[in-house]
Amino acid sequence: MITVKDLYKSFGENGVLKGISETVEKGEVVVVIGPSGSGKSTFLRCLNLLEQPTSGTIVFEGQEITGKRFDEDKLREKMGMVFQQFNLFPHKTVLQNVTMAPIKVKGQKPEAARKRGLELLEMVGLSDKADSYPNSLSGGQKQRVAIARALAMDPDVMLFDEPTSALDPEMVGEVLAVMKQLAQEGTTMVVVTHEMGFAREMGDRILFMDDGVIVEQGSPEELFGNPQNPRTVDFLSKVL
Amino acid sequence: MTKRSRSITSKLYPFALIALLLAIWSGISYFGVLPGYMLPSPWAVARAFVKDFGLLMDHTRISLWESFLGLFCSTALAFVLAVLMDRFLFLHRSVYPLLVLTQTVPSIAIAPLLVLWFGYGLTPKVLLIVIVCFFPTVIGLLSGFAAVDRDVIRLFTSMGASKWQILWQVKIPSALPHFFSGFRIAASYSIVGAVVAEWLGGEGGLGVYMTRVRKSYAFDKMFAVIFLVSIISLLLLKLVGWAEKKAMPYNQKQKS
Repeated sequence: MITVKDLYKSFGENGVLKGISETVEKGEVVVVIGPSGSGKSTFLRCLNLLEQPTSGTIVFEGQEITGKRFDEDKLREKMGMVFQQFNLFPHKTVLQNVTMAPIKVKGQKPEAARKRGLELLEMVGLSDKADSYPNSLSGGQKQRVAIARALAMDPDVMLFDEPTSALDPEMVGEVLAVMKQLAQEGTTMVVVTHEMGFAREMGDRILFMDDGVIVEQGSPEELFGNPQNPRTVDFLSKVL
Repeated sequence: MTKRSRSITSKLYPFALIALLLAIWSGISYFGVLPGYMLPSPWAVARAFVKDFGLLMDHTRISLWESFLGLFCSTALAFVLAVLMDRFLFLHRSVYPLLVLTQTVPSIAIAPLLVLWFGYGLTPKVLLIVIVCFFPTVIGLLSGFAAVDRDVIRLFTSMGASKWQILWQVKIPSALPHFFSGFRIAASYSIVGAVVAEWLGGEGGLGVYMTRVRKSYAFDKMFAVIFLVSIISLLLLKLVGWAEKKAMPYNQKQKS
């Protein structure tokens, strides 16, 4: 579904991604782990062109998106993204936050968007909060709304950029539960996270990144059970 | 002491100081430390203010109109330039130093040139106000745009928002507090700018009045108009503060 080849990204002199080649299959849950500053988030942002790669190619659903004349907006409708910070509109209700992009960007009818929005809130367990304002929600609830908001665009792939890093520990579980549900429903997901429990349980494949390259990858059993590269061993010894 | 009464007392301090200064000033006049034609007593100034009130209001109307026009043009220009500078990096790099440079030239020095080029009408006055007020507004907006949370822009981009939508929905709303801190300065500069421009000639305005009374050595009237200009500046500041609250009711709630 996504094929990345020789992806390089540098900010000025500073090389952040140094040659990444990777394929994500439909329905696969790929979890990216690694120390801070290893380029995980930049890699994720390159996938929906929030960052323009310096060189290399990305092919998404058979189309090269790194080409010059590619319509980025069409791509982004097909890739939902969830960020560390939820950034909900404080002056809009939960439901309005979810339906805003489909109405404004996709031009959906408000009624249809509303119906779909309620379904999604039901899915993330927040249908009773549809008419509440974000300020009355906990961090975990806000992040679940943010997930519903990304799903409202009916994306083919969901990208998660450290979705639980800004949460209080007791809120992490409810967000991971929603993500597990998505994974079980067969959603294609690329997840950057520090939650090793989630990686181990839900990841079809784990990528370990360090210093701009994918150092090692494999199934959770392989990577957590029997890491080969000394950098992987070192990192896992610190976080597990 | 309750919080409320404490805040009232703290508000009384500046008034107490002003009262003290007025008392000292009255004392100086009363005991003839300085002759009355050099420093008229507060009462003389107040009398002059009341006597010339109608005339002062006529001139105020003219100056305020110039200030308003200048402020309006400079704000519109500031918005356009700030948006363009934020959008195009080369523009930011090339224009920014020039903007700073314009601030090093004292406005009182440019004013005669403007009169030379544009005559004694409205144009040179409005232009001078634009030159004076433009800078704080542009700088406010630019720093506001620069301070926008990158993640919010990323979020909007990831949802397929266009550059315009990001500008209207994200950048301008979140730059508003910065804009207002610049605009507040611009508003108080605008009336001063109008007065300075009027010094150099024209049909009317507080600056023209000021020159006339100075030439006739009517220093009581001179002081009266100086106070009037300060009061107008303060009122403009209040007005901007009110507009700021109206424009960003959500900001207010967060602070309290």
